[in-house]
Order: sequence, then structure tokens, then C-alpha cells
Amino acid sequence: MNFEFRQKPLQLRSILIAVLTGILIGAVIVLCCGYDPFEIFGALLSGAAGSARNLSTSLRWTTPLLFTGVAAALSFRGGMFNFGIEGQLCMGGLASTLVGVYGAALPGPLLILLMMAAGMAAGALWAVIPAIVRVRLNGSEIVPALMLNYTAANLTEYLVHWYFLASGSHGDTLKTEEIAEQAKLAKIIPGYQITYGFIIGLLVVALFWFLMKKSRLGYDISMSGFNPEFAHYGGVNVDKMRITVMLLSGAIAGLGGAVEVMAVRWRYETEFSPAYGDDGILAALLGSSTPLGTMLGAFFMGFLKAGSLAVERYTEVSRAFATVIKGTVICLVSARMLSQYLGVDALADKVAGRLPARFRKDRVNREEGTT
Amino acid sequence: MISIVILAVVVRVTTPILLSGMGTLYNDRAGVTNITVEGSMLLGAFASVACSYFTHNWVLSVITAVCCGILVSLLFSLLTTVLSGVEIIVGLAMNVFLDGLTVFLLRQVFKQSGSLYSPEIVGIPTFHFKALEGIPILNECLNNQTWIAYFAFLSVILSQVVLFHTPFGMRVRACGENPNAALTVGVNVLRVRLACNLIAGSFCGLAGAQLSLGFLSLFSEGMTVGKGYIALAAVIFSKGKPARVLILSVLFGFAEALSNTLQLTAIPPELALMLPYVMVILLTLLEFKKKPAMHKAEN
Repeated sequence: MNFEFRQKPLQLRSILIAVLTGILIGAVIVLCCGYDPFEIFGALLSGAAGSARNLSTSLRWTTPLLFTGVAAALSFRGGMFNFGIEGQLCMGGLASTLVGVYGAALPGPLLILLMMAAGMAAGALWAVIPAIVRVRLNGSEIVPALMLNYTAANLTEYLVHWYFLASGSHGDTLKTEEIAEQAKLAKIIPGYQITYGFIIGLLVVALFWFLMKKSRLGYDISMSGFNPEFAHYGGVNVDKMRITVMLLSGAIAGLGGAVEVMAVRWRYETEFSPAYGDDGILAALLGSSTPLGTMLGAFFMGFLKAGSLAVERYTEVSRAFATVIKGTVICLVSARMLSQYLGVDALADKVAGRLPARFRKDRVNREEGTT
Repeated sequence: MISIVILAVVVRVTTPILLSGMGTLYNDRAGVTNITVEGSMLLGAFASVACSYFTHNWVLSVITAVCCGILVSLLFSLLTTVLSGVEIIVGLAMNVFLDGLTVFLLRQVFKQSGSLYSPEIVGIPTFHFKALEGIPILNECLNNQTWIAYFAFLSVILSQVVLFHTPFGMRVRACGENPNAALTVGVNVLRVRLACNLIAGSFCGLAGAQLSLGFLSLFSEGMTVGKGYIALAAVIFSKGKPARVLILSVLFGFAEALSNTLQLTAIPPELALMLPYVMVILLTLLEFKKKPAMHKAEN
């Protein structure tokens, strides 16, 4: 089997078609279950962006996806497929929680930095095995990464259950003690869910942009992802780049776990991650792994998540229907020929023919990029 | 504690892994990277339980599960060949989609969240041979198993014959090893790959039916917990040999049976649950040889 994956740049119209078709299929499924799709999608929209409070909830769900999205995008750019983001995030979350609980004597800023460092270290550690398998053992990194996700879920539960259980908790959710008060990230606007964790997420996206566009390391990474042979003959140590990419990706995922702890949960608990890892991968795929695209992808996934929770709250439709839409959208985004069969390509060419030359040139360039 | 009884569990839990692995082997041999194993097994498990709930008929349920598996692989083929999607991405996205779909349907149709258990659900009957009762190992392995379990083990021999001793098998291998050469001598590569996909899909659906109706007759959200990916690992390590898929599946099945048994002892259940996954990771580290040189490996 061939697990090599090189992401091709996407055209805006294929993304739009995929999103629209995904929503359409979601509507058909809702209709088949006997509900009014307009009502459901109305609830989804207002739940995601209907009021300032809902908007801030959406941004709360977007925050972890900024980290996991960048983690996935970085690995794709470097020619690796980090399927283990989920596990790295959980390990990062638990590690930073432990620092936050046992380092209560430290001053706030120092503690926050330590928690972030612990999260990043744990995440990177959890990415070591897939990196080794790919680079040193010439195998696929995908299966060990997936296995590590399940291992992480069980391992964190084991550690919490037997060593770090909060005193006085007997319920079926296992949780640790709360982290120290000074390590909790403040809310940007009091009364709204959005915290400074969101700002950290945006910073990570900005750093990703800087890395890929402005730094030598970023160039080496994208070269060894785009064409390893070329990079190799150009003097880039491709193996080293792949390990770097994988560990960095794991560290960013772990940082996401740390921020989730500091901003929202204040502790590690079972069901810590409702598929943040998968959603991050999907966000990166939706955004062609570019910094801006990944960020928009994360926003899309976050708003969909917040909206689906509102749908579940106010109607009888389960939040899982957002997962169905997500899956459909990514299936179709990857299916490049769809826009051709739907006749959109011909239409776009016709429209482009009538545009002023300035825009046409831009279009030609973009097409060259895709071939 | 651990006794010979574990053999019965080993056979039971190996069956889904072996079946879906054997199906995926056809894909592997034909050069298709189809990771929808996980999703089609999950859908098969859900569909068979749902069908059994409404019809109380296990034959219909198994047929439904197989049909669902075939449907998933048809969709996969459509997206990857006609619409030229990237196989691994489509596979990943379809797994997300199918996971969401089963949870969604469970909540909308049955108004249940978490799991579906009901006395209405009829399981697949098991066979009992009087003659084997006295024989220690065979009694545990062969008695009180569903026919799917027998079929899974028979499918190894069947696949060996089909893949290596029939014209169809030769075409399948040709498509995997050198699709351009196969095309040149007149093999319809797309059709062969579609056939392999359909075989894989039906095997995965059947594996799903065994998973949900084979023993406990219930469905729970995400009940495959990575079994599809474990089967995938078995196929990757097998280097295309059905016999090796069998050995690896039994090994992984043993790890899972051990994990099930250990949960009942003093060992923390979370640690026991980790066992199959850790086993796969360890095997990954042992299995792959050190890479020769970068430019050779890239070809």
C-alpha cells in the first residue's frame, strides 16, 4: 500500500462546491429523518454566530483546532502524515495539567510558560515513534500514529484513575484536581467564553506563516515535502527535516492540549478531546495546509461544532450530524474532478475569459501551480 | 485466570480482524490504499444490529451488513476513480463520515446515545459439535463459534487459491505490482480494482456483523475502536501473504483476548485495554528493516 501523501493546492471553487454539497447532503439526511432542514440549519447558524455570546462560544471551539490544524498542516507540508495529533494533544493536556496542579507555588507567568513547555514536550515525545518508523525503519507512520492515539486515550485514563484522581470524585468521569488559580487564562471579555488561548492560537498560525514564508527552515521543510529527491540533491537533509516536522507537529498539538487545559477545562478529564485531532487534520485539508487556509478551515470546523451543539440543545437532531457534514465536505474537497463534472470549470473559464487581463493572468498562474 | 478457555475468545475476537484484513489484502494486492476498513466495519456492525432489531432475523442482518460494506466501497471507488480523489484522504474522511452517521442514526432512529442493547436483537447462532466435546483444544476453538468465524479462517485458504492460482488473482497482483504493464496487456485495471474493493467491502461488512451480533448482540458508538486499523497493520506487515495475515491476526486477536481477560483481574483495565495497540506498535518497530539509503528508498 502506498501511504505517501502530497497535498495539491486546492482551487477556491472546489472548496466552495464541497462545502455547499456537504451542506446539501446534510440537509437531505435531516429531511430523511423527518425534520425541516431550514429549521435545523437556521438553528445551526444562529447557534454558531447568532449573537455575541454564541460567536464567542464558536471561537472557544475554534481555539484548539487552530493548534491541531497547524500541527496537521505543518506535517503535510513536510511530507509526513501526522495521524497521531489526537494522542499528542491528550498527552500534552495531561502533562500540562500535572505541572499546573503541582506547581501551584510558582508565579502565574512562569507557571503558564512551564505548562506550555510540558505540553509541548509531551506532544513531541508522543510523535517520536511514528517519526522513527518513517525515517529510520522505512515504514509508514500512519498505523503507529493511529495506535498511539488509542494508547494515549487509555494511558491518560490509567494515570488519572490510579495516580492523579481529584479527591472526592466518584463519578464515572475521571478527572484530576484543578490547576492553580494563577495559571488559568483570563477571558478577553468578562462573561464571554473566549479567552486569551484564542490569541495564542492566532499567534501559532502567525508563527506558522512566518516559518513557511520567511525562514530557511520552512523552505527546507516544504522542499523535502514537495520533492524529496530535489531537496536531497539540493543539500537538504530530508530525514532530519521529516523528524523535525513530526516533532514540531507533535509539540504544537501538545501545546493545543495545554491551552485547552489553561483556557477552558482547568483540569484533565475523560473525553478531554472530542476529536480535536481529526478536526484539525480536516481543517488543514480544507485549507490546503496554507496558514490562512488552515485558519479558515479551523474556523469552519469550530463554528460547525458550536452550531451543532446548539442544534442538539434546541432541536431533536443529534450533534453527530455535523460530523456527517464534515466527512462529506472533506471527501468532496479531495475529489478534484467534481467541479468539472458539475460544469463549474467550464463556467469559470467562460467567466474568466470576460474578465480584464489583470485577473486572467492571476488565474493562469494559479492553474500552473496545480498541474 | 488465564486458562485454555481463552482460546475460544481468541477465535471470536480474531474473526473480525482476520476477515477485514483478508478483504483489505485484495486491495493491497491490487494497489489500492483503502483505509475505510474501520468505517465499513462500524457501519456493518450498526446496520446488522439495526436490521436484527426490526426483523429479528439474523440472516437478513448479515446480508444488510455485507450490503453496507459493499456500498461503502462503491462510494470509495466512485470518489477515488471517477472523481479522482486522493485515496488516503477519502478513506480518512469516509471514516469520519461513517462514524458520524452511525452515531447520528443511533440517536435519531433508536433515541439512544452510547449504545443500543435490546432483547429484540437476535444474534447470530453458534455451532456446537458433540463430537468435539472431549478434545481439549478443538473444543474451545471450534465449538460455540458463529459460522462467520469458520468462514474467516476458510477465507485464508480461499484467498491463497484465488490470489495465486487463478487468472483473476494474477490480474489483481499485476495491477498492484505494475499497473501500466497490466494495462498494456489488456487488463482493465480500474475494473479489477473495483472488484477488489467490493470484495474488501463485503468482508468488512461481514466482520462488522460478527463484531456486533457474534457474541453480545449490541452496538455501541465507535465500537470498532481501531480494529480496522489493526487489521490494516496486519496487512501491511504481511507483505501480501494470506498466511501471514492469518498469523498476525491471531497474534493481535490473542492480545485482545488477553486484554479482555486481564480486565477481570486485579490489573487496571486501562492498562489491559492498551495491550493490543502496544502490541501493534512493538511489532511495527520490529518488523521494518533499517532503511538503506535515502535516494534508493524514494524510488
